[in-house]
Amino acid sequence: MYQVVGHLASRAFRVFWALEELGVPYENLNEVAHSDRVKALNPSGKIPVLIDGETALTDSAAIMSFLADRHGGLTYPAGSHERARQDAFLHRINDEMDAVLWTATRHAKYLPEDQRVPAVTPSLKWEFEHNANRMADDLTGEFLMGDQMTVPDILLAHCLLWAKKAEFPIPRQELLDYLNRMTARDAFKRVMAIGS
Amino acid sequence: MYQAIGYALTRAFRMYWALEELGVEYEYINHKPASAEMKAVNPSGKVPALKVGDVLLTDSCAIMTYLADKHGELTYPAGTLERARQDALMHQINDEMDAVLWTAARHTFVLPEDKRVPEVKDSLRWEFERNCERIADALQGEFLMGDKMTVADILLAHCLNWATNAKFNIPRKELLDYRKRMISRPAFQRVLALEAKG
Repeated sequence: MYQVVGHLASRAFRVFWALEELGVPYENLNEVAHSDRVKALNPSGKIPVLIDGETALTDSAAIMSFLADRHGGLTYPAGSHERARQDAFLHRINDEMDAVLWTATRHAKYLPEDQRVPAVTPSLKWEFEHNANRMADDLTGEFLMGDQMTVPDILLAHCLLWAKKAEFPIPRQELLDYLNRMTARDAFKRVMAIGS
Repeated sequence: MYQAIGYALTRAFRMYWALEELGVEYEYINHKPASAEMKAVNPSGKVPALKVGDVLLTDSCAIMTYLADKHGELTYPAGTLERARQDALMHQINDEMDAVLWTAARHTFVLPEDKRVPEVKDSLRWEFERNCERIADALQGEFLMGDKMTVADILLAHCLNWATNAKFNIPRKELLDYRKRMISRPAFQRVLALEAKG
């Protein structure tokens, strides 16, 4: 059985969500980033880590894609045009949302104090709003890829939740409606229940 | 034949490099990012794009991965543990190198002037050096995955070139040696020659 190393208030949420959507059993090893146990598995101290037998896999997006390919859900087949579009969404959401939110978080609390430049945050919020508008333009169906939910949907919904918490602007009703649909899913609710 | 679109001295370089490594024929269309010609192809104006029949693919990493899967080289098969590690390296390089370099570029010349915060650049240089250390530690063989070159290597070598051009410091000899090996590859040299043509 897979073991998930991480906790819900982190990018590990995405891995729990993917596992729940796929209906794959897992064990939750509740760990915070940079704990000794995490560092033994991933020298950078980052979470999530997914343990599959003897192997420790890292990076939430890579883990989700692995699970989707392995279990045949939440993805189009590798090498197809649809998969290329799906992967382009994954990289774009990382680049235009996750990285923007993460830069703000680093300058708010994670960098050594003498490396923080909190003055960059208003510019990051402006960029996020611009990028969210373009994402909303490309969200034409129920999911990013239309009728089929895929791993970038988990990434986008998680970034929108992160944006809300960090008080970043979500400029478009389409994105808020999308987030409501995504968080109403049974799999999402099962992940939330892990925490209680 | 593929139509490969985007001026080569951009992230499009990665797509051309992958095409050359795979030995696949393509037509080179050198539209500049954000140009009217590029926006007519891809409304965001971003490069690269790859036209496959009637379908337009975007994003350098997604395009490289598509080509690798389709032509069965430069990648491990989807669903394997090796592929998960290869993808994790790709996301790590994007997060810890590309995004850092790109944030510096945005605050130098990409963003509207009133949105630029040039003071952030010293901190980005500091982060880049620290992140290089992590990636150097992960580099254990000739390539990131050991003996086999993958699309993650193209991404890393391109980011190291970008860092060199942007005068970001690369602190570890392993990474400098790795970059030398990668840019001496015939496929890399063929892309450079492509760029020289215009």
